[in-house]
Amino acid sequence: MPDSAPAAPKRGAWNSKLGFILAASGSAIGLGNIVFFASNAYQYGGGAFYLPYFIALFVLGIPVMITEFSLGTMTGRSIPMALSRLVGKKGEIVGRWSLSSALFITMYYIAILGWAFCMMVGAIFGLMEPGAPAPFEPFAEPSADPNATAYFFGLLASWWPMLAVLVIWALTLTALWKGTETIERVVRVAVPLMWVFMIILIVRGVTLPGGTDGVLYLFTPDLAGIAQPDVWKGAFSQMFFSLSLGLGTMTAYASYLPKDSDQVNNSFMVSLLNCGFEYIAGIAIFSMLFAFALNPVGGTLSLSFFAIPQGISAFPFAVKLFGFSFFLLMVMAGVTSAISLVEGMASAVIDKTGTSRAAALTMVAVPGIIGAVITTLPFVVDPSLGGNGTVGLNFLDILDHWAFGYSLLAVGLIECVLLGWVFGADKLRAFVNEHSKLKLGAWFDVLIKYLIPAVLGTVLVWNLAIDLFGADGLYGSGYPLGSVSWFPIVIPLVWILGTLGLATFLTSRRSATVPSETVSPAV
Amino acid sequence: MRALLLIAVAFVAAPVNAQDIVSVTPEQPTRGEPVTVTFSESVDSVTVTYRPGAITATADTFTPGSETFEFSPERAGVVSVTSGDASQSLSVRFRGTPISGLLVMILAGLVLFGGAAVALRALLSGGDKIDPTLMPDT
Repeated sequence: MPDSAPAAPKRGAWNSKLGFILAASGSAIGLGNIVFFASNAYQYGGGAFYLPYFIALFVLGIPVMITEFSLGTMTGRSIPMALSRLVGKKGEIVGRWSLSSALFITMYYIAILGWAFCMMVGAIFGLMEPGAPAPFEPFAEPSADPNATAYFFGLLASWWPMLAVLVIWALTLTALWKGTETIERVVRVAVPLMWVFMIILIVRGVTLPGGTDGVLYLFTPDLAGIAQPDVWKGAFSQMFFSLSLGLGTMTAYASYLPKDSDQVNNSFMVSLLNCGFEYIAGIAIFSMLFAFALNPVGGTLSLSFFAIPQGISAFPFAVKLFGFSFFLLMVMAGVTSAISLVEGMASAVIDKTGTSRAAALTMVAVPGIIGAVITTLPFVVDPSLGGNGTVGLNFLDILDHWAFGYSLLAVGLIECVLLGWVFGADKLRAFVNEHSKLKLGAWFDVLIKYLIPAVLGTVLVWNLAIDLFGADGLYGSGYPLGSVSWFPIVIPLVWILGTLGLATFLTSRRSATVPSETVSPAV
Repeated sequence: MRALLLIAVAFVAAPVNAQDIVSVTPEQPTRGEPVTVTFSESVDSVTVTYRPGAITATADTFTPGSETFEFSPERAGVVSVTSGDASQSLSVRFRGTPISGLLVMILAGLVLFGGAAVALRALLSGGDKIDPTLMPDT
């Protein structure tokens, strides 16, 4: 519990329910939603992937989102103080660890947005034209045709992304300047625009030769893989990452809602909008890639920066306009997610220290900008491209593997254990049911206490076993990293020790604010 | 993001390898329709992979022993034709409308957008504005 001190500072408040839904869905819909679902669906059996995907949505995604939203409305606090009020100091450490990891993730997430911003500008000035070179052997000579890969690596080896990172940070901080008031204004424009742009891409995609076959290919089930554990692991991980759970963002946003908000309905709404966006994004991506016989296997970066622009460059007309629109869509989807990441951290600083919003944003932005600049460092360490090319891209790749791949799932797991077993899943359910039209049954307790921790624990142990004992060795250790060959060992160590150390240190500090009321859900 | 490298290398390799495959006709065949692949020199072995890179990928190997190779794709979707370093992807179209794909598309769309519409209706049933007096801890 907080120690002592003056009354709580005035926190933000959403002006409308729709404003909250747009902000929360804008947070959930990020870069991964545009291409990652399509890639997973392709790899894991097309339409057959929808079976584990929907099971993951209803068994894991929506229940954890109900939990995270309820944490916010129950306490009116960001995740560390919310958990602190419900389960004590150990909860606060978990919350602060989640936000410390979110800080690391924000660093490189905004760097990716910086690259997307550069590609967006580049779509008008050269990306869609022949002649792109990069200081790597395969791309050393200017390309004879439009070559998105050469253009991207050329960009990576320049200083422009650093400038773009500052632009993205400026956009993010401007949107956060007056808290919910400015966030709501931004999402009311950006989120509907994202849907409009995606629908335009669908229209373009399905009108290409073979485009409709691509759409049907996405949904036609290939049942051969459904029994394979990898498919189920892929679906559960995809759902957790896709909904931005375990990052503290949903709790921060929900803390600006009234206590009587219907969190079951809100969770359904946000989750279904998020998955609906993935659904239409899958249609757009599959129709385009199929039309140009491009394989949709790959990560978010490779598909977004190489495959899709390559496909767009082969459009019969308006290639610059479509290229620009695609990257503008990426920037908007990414910025609305970055806003929530930074807000989650800033609100936690305000809750803990009682400082002003401007000071809290500065405390988050300074390390965030430094990390983003490191990620965009253009120094080439791997001219053979046996790894990722530049210092910055290797830093991103390895940090993402650990920070994103483990912390979200781990926080989700611990969150469920603490709320299910220490606070009491029945108490949580009683609070939710007090204000929801659709009542949760005792099955919710079973999910929070047993099933979700078991699923997340299995995925975590499975991933860790592959990383520590797999044939490839420690992640990134096979890359030719030259002068930064210590990255694969040092980055995970800095991440885990840095985030745990920061979480412990911040938890040990005195809280400047006292909650104005105790948490007493009706049981 | 390990796949980043793989895709980068694939894109790097594509223009070089494409020189080894002179032509693929037709470019977008229909399932079951014969496809002729012409290589720049005689090849002993050709592998046709259906859904390459996926967990459910399947492959057939052929031994043409000449510069041209003909096969009829058994499945619609992304198919890769590989011989040594030479590789080419092609999109094989469906012969008709796959009912299972159409059904999954409609069902998934109904669950996602139908559910969202019902939730939106419930959300706005009491009006969109939030009563500021009900805010926690303000």
